[in-house]
Amino acid sequence: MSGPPEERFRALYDAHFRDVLRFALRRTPQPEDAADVVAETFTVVWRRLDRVPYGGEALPWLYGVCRKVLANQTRSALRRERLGARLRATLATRVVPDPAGDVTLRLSVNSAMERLSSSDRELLRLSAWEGLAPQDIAIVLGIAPRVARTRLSRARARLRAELGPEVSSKVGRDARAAGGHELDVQGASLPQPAPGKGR
Amino acid sequence: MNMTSDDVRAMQAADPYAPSRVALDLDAEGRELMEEIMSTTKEKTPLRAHPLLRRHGRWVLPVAAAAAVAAVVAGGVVIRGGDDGAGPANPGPASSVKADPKPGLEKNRAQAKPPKADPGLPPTPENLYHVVLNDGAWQISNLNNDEVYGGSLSWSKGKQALQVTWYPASEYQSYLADRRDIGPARDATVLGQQGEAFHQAIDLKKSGDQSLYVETEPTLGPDGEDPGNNLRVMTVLPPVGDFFLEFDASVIDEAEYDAVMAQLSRVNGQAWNAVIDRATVTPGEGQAFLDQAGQGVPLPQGMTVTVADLELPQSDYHARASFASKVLCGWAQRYIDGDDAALDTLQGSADWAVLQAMDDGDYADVTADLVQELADDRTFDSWRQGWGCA
Repeated sequence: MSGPPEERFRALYDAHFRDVLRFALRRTPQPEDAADVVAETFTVVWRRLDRVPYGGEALPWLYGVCRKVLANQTRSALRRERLGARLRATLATRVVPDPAGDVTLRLSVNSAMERLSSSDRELLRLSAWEGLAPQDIAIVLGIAPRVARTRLSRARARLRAELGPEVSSKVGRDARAAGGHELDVQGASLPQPAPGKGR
Repeated sequence: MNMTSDDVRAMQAADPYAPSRVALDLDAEGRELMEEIMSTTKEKTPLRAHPLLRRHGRWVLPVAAAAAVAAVVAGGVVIRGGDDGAGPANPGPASSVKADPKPGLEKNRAQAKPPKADPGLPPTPENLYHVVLNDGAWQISNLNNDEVYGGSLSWSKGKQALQVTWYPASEYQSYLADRRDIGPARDATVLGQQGEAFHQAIDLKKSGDQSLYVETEPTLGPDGEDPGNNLRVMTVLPPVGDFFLEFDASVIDEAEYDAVMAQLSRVNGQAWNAVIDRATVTPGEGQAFLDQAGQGVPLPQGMTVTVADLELPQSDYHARASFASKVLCGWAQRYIDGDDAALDTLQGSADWAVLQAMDDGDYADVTADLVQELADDRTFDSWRQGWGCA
């Protein structure tokens, strides 16, 4: 019979499994590696359920756990318990990253990202890929919201400078042509374009 | 057009797993994983040596409970076994705890730094991890060992920490590959072996960079701790026999790192066991230890704490934890059973000398957190796990 801890864990898992899996997929070299990361992350959640915040802070907190799992992973350690074998097998055979994206644009962005610091990259990913607001990014990274907001602002300025106006303009045109939605940049302060990169 | 949106759009275009492009129809797989996880025990798995999963600290988490920690340490300290016959003990230095008065709660510590130590015996399969640190300012802080999985021995000097871990030789390439992800290696010679050293500025941790390393578990420990340390160096040495060594130092700077590494030496098994004995509370010292640990600590009516409860031999830190946990468990149970005054006692535990003597770890802080949780919510149940209560 399930008690409250079991019910809460199931609810957390049901609500956030895909989010955490996607988070892990974006940060692991092979899709199947994400299975180990997700298994480890939710195992920690299961064992530390009393530490998981309630409400909207739960998901960024899970991302924070997942991020540390990723940072600390070793092949042998994460595979020790061999949980999630079926998930791993499916990810290895059925999940392919970005099968339909704009290759040229992706390469341009990836190239620009590579020139940024790992800290900037992670801030940008959390903002654009996970869609987190600065206050949630702060939870993930364990820093103050004000610091997250400032760092994100600077990271975006540096990304714009690296991308240059042509790429950004192309993105805008493509997005409008595709009826793309406006992105929620939830509270991030908007820096001025870098000198010489003005648009 | 809002330029700011464009840069974020560009980022989204590069998302390799954008929900709009990569569906994750994995209900069955996800459900199976959830059931697997829930079928595992909620108890923390006893720690195995793993440098990225556990750094030098102790009691980082409430759930790193006395039971689990003590079990590992107690199991590890019993590293008896005779002389490995590899030669005489290093005649000099022994270890940080050699001159410690025993028994007592204040064993150690600051002694003048001795001259550079003789690196001692060359590595053999029998003596590979019989390493001592010949600097009285560094004290042994933790030890665990396992015949199959290896073990670790840790020293600390304030916030600075050094740990030597011996891993199965079969995992050497895997560990080395992981460490190489940190950055370029430097050639290093430690205790007669040439290996690779990976230097890492700890301020990377404070920036929230991916290079985070936390202790005990990769999950809940606070980021960017050890404010006094600016450098972490992991040095991997090639296998000898069944194991290989890795030294993991978190220190103030390169000078401190060089200084502490220069004081390492390898001794024979008999000498090493003697050092370990001096660094731990032994069963024979248990009663005197108890007498001192119990000063100023009220016991719940009917409770007695015996030497057997201390699970000796183990480090003085862990022996204190064993003592305190039994007492705290007793008071918490009384509070749960309706004795409101027991909460006052629990809240007063911050003043107990035995807890104050543990300020080099997190036990006292964790205890304060658990007491606060209990005060806030009488149904809070994690105190049992936190203190390792039966």
